This record gives sequence, structure tokens and C-alpha cells, in this order.
Amino acid sequence: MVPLLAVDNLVKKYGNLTAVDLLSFDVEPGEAFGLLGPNGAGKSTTMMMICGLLAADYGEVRLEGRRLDRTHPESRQRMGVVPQDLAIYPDLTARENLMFFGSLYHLSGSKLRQKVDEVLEQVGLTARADDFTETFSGGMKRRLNFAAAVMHDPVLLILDEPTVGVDPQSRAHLIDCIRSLQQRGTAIIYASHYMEEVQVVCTRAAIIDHGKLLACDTIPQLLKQIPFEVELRLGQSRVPESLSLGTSARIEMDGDEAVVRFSTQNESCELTLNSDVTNILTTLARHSVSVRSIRTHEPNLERLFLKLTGHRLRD
Amino acid sequence: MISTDAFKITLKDLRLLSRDRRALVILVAMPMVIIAIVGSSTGRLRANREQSRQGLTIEVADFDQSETALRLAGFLASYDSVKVRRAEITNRSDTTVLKKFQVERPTDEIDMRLVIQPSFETRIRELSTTLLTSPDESTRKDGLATVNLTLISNETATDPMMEGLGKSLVKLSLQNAILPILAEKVPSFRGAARDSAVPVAWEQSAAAKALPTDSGNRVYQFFIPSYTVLFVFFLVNIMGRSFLGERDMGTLRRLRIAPIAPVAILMGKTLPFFVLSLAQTIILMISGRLLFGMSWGPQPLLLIPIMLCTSAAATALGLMFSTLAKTESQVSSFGNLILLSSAGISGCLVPRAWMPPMSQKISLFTPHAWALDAYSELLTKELPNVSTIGQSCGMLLLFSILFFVVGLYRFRADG
Repeated sequence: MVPLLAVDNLVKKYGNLTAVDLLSFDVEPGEAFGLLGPNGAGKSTTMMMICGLLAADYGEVRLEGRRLDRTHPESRQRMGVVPQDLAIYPDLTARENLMFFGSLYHLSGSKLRQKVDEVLEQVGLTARADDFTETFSGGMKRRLNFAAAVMHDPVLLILDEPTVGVDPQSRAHLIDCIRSLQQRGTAIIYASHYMEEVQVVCTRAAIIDHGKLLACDTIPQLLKQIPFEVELRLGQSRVPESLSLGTSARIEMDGDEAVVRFSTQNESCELTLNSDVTNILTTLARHSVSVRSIRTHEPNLERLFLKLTGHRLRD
Repeated sequence: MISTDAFKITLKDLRLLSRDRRALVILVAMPMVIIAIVGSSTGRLRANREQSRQGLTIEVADFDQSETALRLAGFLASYDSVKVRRAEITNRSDTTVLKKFQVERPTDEIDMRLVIQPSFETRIRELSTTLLTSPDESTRKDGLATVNLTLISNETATDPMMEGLGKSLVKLSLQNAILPILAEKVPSFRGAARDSAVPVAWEQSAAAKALPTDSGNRVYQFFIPSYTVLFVFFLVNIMGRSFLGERDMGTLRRLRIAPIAPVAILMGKTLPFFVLSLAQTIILMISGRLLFGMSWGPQPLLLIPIMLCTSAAATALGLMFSTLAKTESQVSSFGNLILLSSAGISGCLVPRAWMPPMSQKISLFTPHAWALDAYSELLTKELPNVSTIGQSCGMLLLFSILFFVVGLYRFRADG
């Protein structure tokens, strides 16, 4: 079966810097696909090449089996893009903005007006439809920014950090809108630094760094690369020398406090953890060592992201 | 499809521009104020300089109304460098009116006034043949007063050469005018008198009728086109800001992502300013006529191609500049640099005729100069040369195409 979007061996170089290095991935119809990577990893360059703003030095992008060609702008008709930066006119009303952007995708007349009303309702801006957007809050602008990209019912929606700088209510509303679109069959490419959002919205994700694909799989499969960790903080700075907790656990000092850490990467991690925690707690009780707190670190995309891309600061 | 897409962007930008009062003030109100201020403060100087370049304008106050007096005015008008205008005389028999014409100096565009006193022809007939045939002898050598003529210069006239020229031309015309009287006295002059038919008086030509009658308004023939061209090219800055704003707002990227061709985006971004520029020019021309009495020249319809081509060149230059400038400071600094330097070089601020020949040649590298040439040909010439106007319009269109192509190349190259 032909994927909705096929990104095949894309390469983009800026002088000696290879921003995107033989990057390939597919997106299926109706799928929500996360694109993760630190700053400068090549995400934006990749998305710009997908939506036709940049020409690839090598490789190609296909949408519904047809090669996307920068010189044929009509090939972008089936695609919507929510840019990271707000891209709306502050001196136009919300309705005027949507009417204009809708018309660029060849909507007109009553169909356009109907679609504007529908999308305004969808993003919760009906009551402010005829207000100038310069009077809008950050969250409202973000919602309108999103609305402008979905006016023409695209089969593929590319979102680049769509929730940056918005209040929790607007963020939740936007995520609901995105999930609703996906449920109606729109494929999503979701690029964000908010890993929890990607985990909630996407079924599959790719992690890229230095222009290269580091991982690409379904979210559950990706999370299997990260161990489940347990941390027991002991209420004392010293532990008896005779205390032995087995090979999987290690005792470390965190300031004046002793900490016991252990992890598992088993497929059936719940079962293993159960017995491990029981054994360690029993041993500690036997040596009269009290436990002040227990913390668990579940596998998540953020930990996987840091594991794959490192902790070094990126500018 | 390209034109439809461009039209959508044009409508959006026109809507945005209509809400941008600052831009409208800069484009329409400011030129009017500046034309009025500069016109009233330095207009006369410029008008005098322009007139001296173009020739003499002599007002003839004919109190005699004799055939010889009419011949004198007619011969005077036959010189290429002389424009004759007949003075309105309310009562020819009133000596105070005559005195007033003889004493009061002409103003504004009238360089000299020739007063033909009531007894002019009678006095000619009284003079001896010797005096008539040898004007440099006896009483006639002192000047025109002997034959009851008074010639007085403009109150601001500073050029003695022009004054001398005017006096000489009046004397030469007088010699031709008196030939029939001479022929009556000396038969050998009859042949010359028969051949000395009076040419058509300049004041009866179509060109003369098209020129403004209110001399004070003549300065605006120069100022309004000059400042209109100057302010039409102010669009460069405003277009630069509009493009930059679109880029900063991220909407330019959104336009580029949409399924429309880059050329449609550029056309859509350019057309509103073309419309605005045309509106600005039309408003200035109408205001110039209504408020300052400016003439639209003998063929006002020719204003249309000049306005269209000038606006096309200005907006295309604005487009090219918009694709080159990347920051607000670049728009301000380079925009003003382009505006002021091209205005100075082209003759918007200082007439090209006042410039050295080399500077005049250099000015032709600016579209402003061609626009000014076209306006000047139409508005200040008695009989405008259509091919000169056509050539200027052609050059303006070439500039437009060049600027648009460079702009399109830059736009595409930007990704």
C-alpha cells in the first residue's frame, strides 16, 4: 500500500553543514506521527522541504504517491501547515483572516463562509469572530493560527510546535482539535519539544539529531528502549556494611542522603518490579533501615529523547 | 489562475492599507502640504529660472489699437523665444490706467511689459524718413520713448542680458511694423512692406490658450509633477515595510506554503501599491488643478500613460527593494538613501535643466528622470511631442520589467 507521505533519503546541506542527512520515513493516512529532535536537529528543515519551502539537495517527498514539486504549487493543495510562529494578520478580524487563507486554497462563496463558521466553532472563536486579532490573547491567536491551516480539509497536517506559549486551557483545546482531526482521517506530523504532547497525540514518532534518524517506531515500541526505574530514599546517611540488595540495585549518596536505585527493562516489567521492590523492602527492614520516600520513573519519550540525543546543551 | 490568486492577495492588502492611516497620510496628505509650502516659498525663484530658460514672456498693453500697434505685437510674437500676452485694459482713454501700466512692474511669469501709448501710430507718422530709417540717429537713438513705447521689466528680473534681448527684439519688431508707413513716405520700401505680412500672433495659438492665465499658479506646473514623482517613489519605503511586516508576521511563509505561484504572490503584493500610487497621483493632479490652478497641458489624456508607467516603475522598484531588505533598519536606511539620492539625481528636488550636462546624463539612469521628462513635455510645452512622451513611458516600462524580474529572482532564491 502506498503511504500518504513518503520521505525518501532527503539531504539538505548549507555549505559544509549537513542539516538533513539521508532522512527517510513514511506517514500513513490518518496517522499521527511525531517528529522529535533537539534544536538544530533538522526538524524544521525537513518540514520546510516537505511543504515545499525549501528544495532538497537529494531525495524526494511523495504525497499520495505523487512527487511534491516546488515548481508546482498546486501539489500543496492537500497539505496544511501550522507554523511555529504565529502567521495571522493582526489588522484583520478572525473571520477575515480565515476567509483570506481559505480563498488561497480555492474555497469561495457560501462554501467558504460555511467553512469559516465551522472552523471558528471548532477552535472556540465564534464569539470573537469579528474582532481584530491584535486584541486576542496568545492562546486565541494560536487557535486561529491552527484554524487557518485546516480551512481546506487537508489530508496531511504539519504542526510545528503548535502549542508554544499558550495557557493550559488553550493547549488542551488545541490538542483536542488535533485528535479530533486525526480521528476524522487527517494524517498529522507533529513536531514539538513537549514530549508529553507527542506521547498523547501521536501513535508513532521519529527522533532525529544532526539530520539523521535515530529512532522511528510506534510509541510503545520506542518506550521499550527505556527502563522502568525505582528510587528509594532512605532516611539516613549511612547504611550497614552488611546490607546487600542484589545485583540489580545500587546504593548511591545524594548529598547526605542514601538512595537505592534499581531498574528493569524486561518485557514484563510490572512482575519483575513487584518482586524486586518486595525483596528490597524486606531486606531494608531486616537491617532496620527506614525508607523515607519511593519514586518511580516510568519510561517516557523525554527520557528516550535525552538518552538518544544526550544532555549537552543545544543552541 | 495566477491573476485570480494575485487578486485575492491584492484585496487583502488593500483592506490592510485602508486601515493603515499613517501610510495614507504619508502618501497623500504629506505631498499636498509640502507642495504648498515649497511652492509658496521657493516657487517664484524656480519659475523665473525656468522662464529664462524657455524664453521671454512679454505682456503687450495696447492703448493705441492702431494697425501698426497690432503689427508690432504680431512681429514680436513671431520670435521663437518670445511669448506675447495681451494685457486686459478696462478703459483705454483713462490716463490713470495708462500711468499704472507704465509705472507698475510686471510680476511672476511676465518678464516684460510693452506699453503702446495712444498716440503711437500718429507719432510714427510724424517722424521724418531719416529718423524712421536710421533709428540709431538723433532722438530715436535714446530708446523707445521717442515713438511712445514703454518697456518695463519684471520686478524680480536679475538678468541684464534678458532685458537687453527683450529691448532688441522690440526694436526689430518695430522696424518691421512701420514698413507700410515707410513705404508711404519712401516708394523704394513698398516691396518690403508688401512682403512684411504679420505672422500669426502667438496668443492666438492653441498652446497659448492651454497655458494658465494666472501667472502665480505657473510654479505649480513644476512643483506638482516633481513632488508627485518624488512621493510616488516613497512607496519604496512603504512597500518594504509591508513586505517586512508580512515576513515578520510569518504570513509570507504561509502564502508561500499555499498552492499559489511565487509570481502570483509578488503580483498580489505589488498591485495594491500600484493602485495606491495611481490614486495618489490622481489626487495630487486633481488637487493641483483645483487648489493651485495647475494646468494639465494641451493634451490631458496623455497624463494617463504617464501616470500608469510612473506608478508601474515605482511599485516595481518597491518590490525589488522589498525582496532585498531584510530588516527594519535596512528598510529605513537603504530606503531613504534610495529615495533621496534618486530624487536628487533625477531632478525631483533640483530641476535637471539646472544641472551640469554630465549630471543630466546620469539622471537618466533613474526612472524618476524619465517620469519628469514626460510630465515636463506634457505640462510645460505649448505643443507636447507625443513621441518624447512615448519614449519616456517606454523607458519607465523597461525599468518596471527589470525591477520586477530582479524582485522575482530574489524572491525565488530566498527559498
